[in-house]
Amino acid sequence: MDKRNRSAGIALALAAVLVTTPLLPLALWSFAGEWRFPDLLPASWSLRGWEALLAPGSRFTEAVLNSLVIAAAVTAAAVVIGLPAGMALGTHDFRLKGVVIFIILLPILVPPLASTMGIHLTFIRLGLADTMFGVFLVHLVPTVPYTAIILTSVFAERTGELEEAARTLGAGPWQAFWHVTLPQVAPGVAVAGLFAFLISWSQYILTVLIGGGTVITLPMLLFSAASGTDPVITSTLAVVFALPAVVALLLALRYLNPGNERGFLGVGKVS
Amino acid sequence: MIKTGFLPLVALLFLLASCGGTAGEASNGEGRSWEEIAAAAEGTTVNFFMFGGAEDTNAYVDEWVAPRLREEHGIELVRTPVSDTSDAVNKLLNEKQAGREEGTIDLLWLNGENFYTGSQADLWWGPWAEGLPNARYIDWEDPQINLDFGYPVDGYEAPWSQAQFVMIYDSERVEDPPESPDELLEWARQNPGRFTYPAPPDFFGNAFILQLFYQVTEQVEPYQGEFDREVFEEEAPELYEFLNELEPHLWRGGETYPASGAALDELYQNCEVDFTVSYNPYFAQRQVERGIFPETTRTYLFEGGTLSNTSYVAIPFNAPNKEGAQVVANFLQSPEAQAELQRRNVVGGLTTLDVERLPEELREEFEIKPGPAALSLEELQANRLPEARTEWQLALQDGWASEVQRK
Amino acid sequence: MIGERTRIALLLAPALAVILVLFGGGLYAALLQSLGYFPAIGMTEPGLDAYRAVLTSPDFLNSLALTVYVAGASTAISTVLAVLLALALRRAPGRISTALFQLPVTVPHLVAAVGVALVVTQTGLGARIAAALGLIGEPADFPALLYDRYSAGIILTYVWKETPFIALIVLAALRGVASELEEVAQTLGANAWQRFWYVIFPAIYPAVVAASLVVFAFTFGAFEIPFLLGQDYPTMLPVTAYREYRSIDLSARPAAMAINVILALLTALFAAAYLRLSRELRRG
Repeated sequence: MDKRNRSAGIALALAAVLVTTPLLPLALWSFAGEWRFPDLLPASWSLRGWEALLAPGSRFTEAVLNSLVIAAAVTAAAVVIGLPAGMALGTHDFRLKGVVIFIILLPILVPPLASTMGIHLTFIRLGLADTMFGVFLVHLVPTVPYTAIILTSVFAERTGELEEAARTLGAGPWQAFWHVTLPQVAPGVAVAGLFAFLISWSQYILTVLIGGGTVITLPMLLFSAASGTDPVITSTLAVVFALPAVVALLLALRYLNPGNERGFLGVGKVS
Repeated sequence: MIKTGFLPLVALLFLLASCGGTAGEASNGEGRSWEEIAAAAEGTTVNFFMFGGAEDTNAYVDEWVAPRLREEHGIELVRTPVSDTSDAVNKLLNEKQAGREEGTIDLLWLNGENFYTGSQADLWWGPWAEGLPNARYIDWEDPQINLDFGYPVDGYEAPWSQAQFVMIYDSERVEDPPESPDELLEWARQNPGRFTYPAPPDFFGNAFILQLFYQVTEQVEPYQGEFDREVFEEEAPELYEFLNELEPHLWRGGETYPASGAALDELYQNCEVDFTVSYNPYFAQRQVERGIFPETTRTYLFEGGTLSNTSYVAIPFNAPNKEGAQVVANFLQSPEAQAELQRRNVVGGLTTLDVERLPEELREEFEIKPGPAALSLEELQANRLPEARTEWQLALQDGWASEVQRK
Repeated sequence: MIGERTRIALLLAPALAVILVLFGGGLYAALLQSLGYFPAIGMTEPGLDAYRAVLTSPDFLNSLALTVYVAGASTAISTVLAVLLALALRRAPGRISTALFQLPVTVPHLVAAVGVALVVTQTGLGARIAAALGLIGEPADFPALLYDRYSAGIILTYVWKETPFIALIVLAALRGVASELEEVAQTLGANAWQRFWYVIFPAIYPAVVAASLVVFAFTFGAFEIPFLLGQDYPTMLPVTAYREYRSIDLSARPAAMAINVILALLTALFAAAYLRLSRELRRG
């Protein structure tokens, strides 16, 4: 057993190095002053990147706010829409269930970029292009399937006995849902919501297409910086852009039940 | 009220103020007087879409232009960066197609094929540009102004700045920079991997292959007129043959090309190649002063002269605030704004005004004292070539993709 | 009292409406535009010209080949690494390995791309370490891993992002492997490889395939990383479609839509395969 533990330790250390390797230069560059090849560490440190983000005209604050507002609205909507679907799929068997699951699964595997290019002209005609609301709508495409699927598995793991008991004791269907079902699935709802938030937050190309350059979000600033020549600005933006992921990790560490090694984010993909 | 203590600037401001009041006869798209336009523009927001990859130009617009527009004209200027000007044109094409009569772009920085394509699709509102009060400082008879890459401007866009294509190199590593195609090939052979150019249709890539097209075919004239497929098919293979011969000696053996001018600059500042290119003749000087390019950086021209063009601002057909856009365009052309533009070497680097037309006391604002990395204005002006008409450029880019890139 | 079927339909309606209208409607509009039929913008003569042009163009075929290669290589490398990691880590403290793996899963792809680029570019961290070790003299000596013909930068970024994703799923599946069975196998004299092949692998195989399929479909249709780190030609399918779409030449529009439709059909096939597989999984 000792030998096994040691090899697991080595593997863990190796994995830790691999995971942190691409994140390390981002953190260093965001505080670097002069850092020329082949120096391993910056020759001087500076807050230039951070100052640049807050300089007038940088639109950083606007971009962060837009990203937050869109992601929050998308999270709320995707949970509200995904919850009933998850309930139906997780607790009932019906004809066409396979077809419904297939339809819900499609936008996870078929790139929403394809459908968004198709719908773009219609959005322009309806006046939805170039608006936050239009961007919010297309962000629902990659997020609703996730909340629906995650919540399906949450509901499928329950037996529903408690609701039955509540109903027998005279609770109405809403009361049963509100006082019994919801508290029970709350952790699952939180996971689904966190997921929707991260997916919307990370979205670049759908925002560019539908936002038409008018709706500026954080990834758009990062993308244009990454196409430029200043690694300091790029890295600083990247650090800010990665923050929600770090917060999610901390939440996971704090609230994760040690037995649940699957990790509460293990089932999904964030783009 | 006026915070700056410099006398010349105060004089400029006065001049501006008087401009606003007197040029009442100005013609514009709707035949209104300039006072009416300026009054209608007050208190509005103008959405200015512009290529966002030029940090110094962004800073000029955000830190210098926008606050003055707010103070002097009550206009809120919102700069929206696009990663490629063609994205904005594409957006307008979509809106035109979808029948969207109220768009989001009030003013767009552009020239060349973007203006041409937009003109073909009726995307521009106008004519208005010759009616701006400050248009009197512009020499509208000059083909560098009234033709945009050979295509008539006809008052549908207002000139903003002048640019000229230059080569930039590190004199420490390159003793005698190549000025002709033959010399370039020879140099690249002896220094494999140390030269490359951005892949067309990047703006700088387009310029580079057009510049070489002029040089390899040893003529400029025929490409100024209507596109002639026969002439093109006779002449272009010579260029592609040359570029293919050059390819194996390029950076990465020509396996790939930098995606943009900025990507090439990055290779240059990381010492991965010895040359870069610019459309701003004073770009190298500025990068040296900032410590981004090596001290030994120098600017030079290919023999026989280099491409030069004007960049403009245009107002889209569905711009929600056409009055505000005109006031902004007029401000951008003011001697004050143009002097600052040239001092900062932003946009194209050079003023678009005909300095001779300015009152004497303002002219010295436009004198340039080039540093060691730059060339004098006289040398630049003596070596200017016009851009080819857009159709020639488009044909060259297509040909490059099929004959050079994919082979 | 509403019937059970109505109740289910009502519960599903919002989600299905979002997907059918915004996603299905978008694909339908893409299909129409690819066929040259979109009366609202004056396209009224349907035809298959765009498909003919796209399917016979070497550009499209090169793009498709590159896409299959990048998605295939990223998936294969990530899967192998993930299984190895999961096996090595199954006895490590669950909380730590989960936390470690979760970070790349949640970090946006764009951040991963920028980070990997700063490591593998010719003046990046990798090159600096190589220079410090005396392996290279100047940046050009370091192998070109960005914008390169083998798409190394793209694949590396995907491997960094997707390996932990697969590993988490494999770790979960490994919990289902009865350790008694392994011990029995060991007492019977099975070596490590035999234990893996006959005891562990059959138990995790469906999860591995399902996870790999998701990764393959995702890397097949994703845009950001190849757009940022790919070479100028050929480009992966989503990038090719977007380039055609943003072209100022409107006649390129049907071709862009045709590529989108082809992309959607291919990835829908992967989705069908995935669903079938996970159903078999559930049946056991």
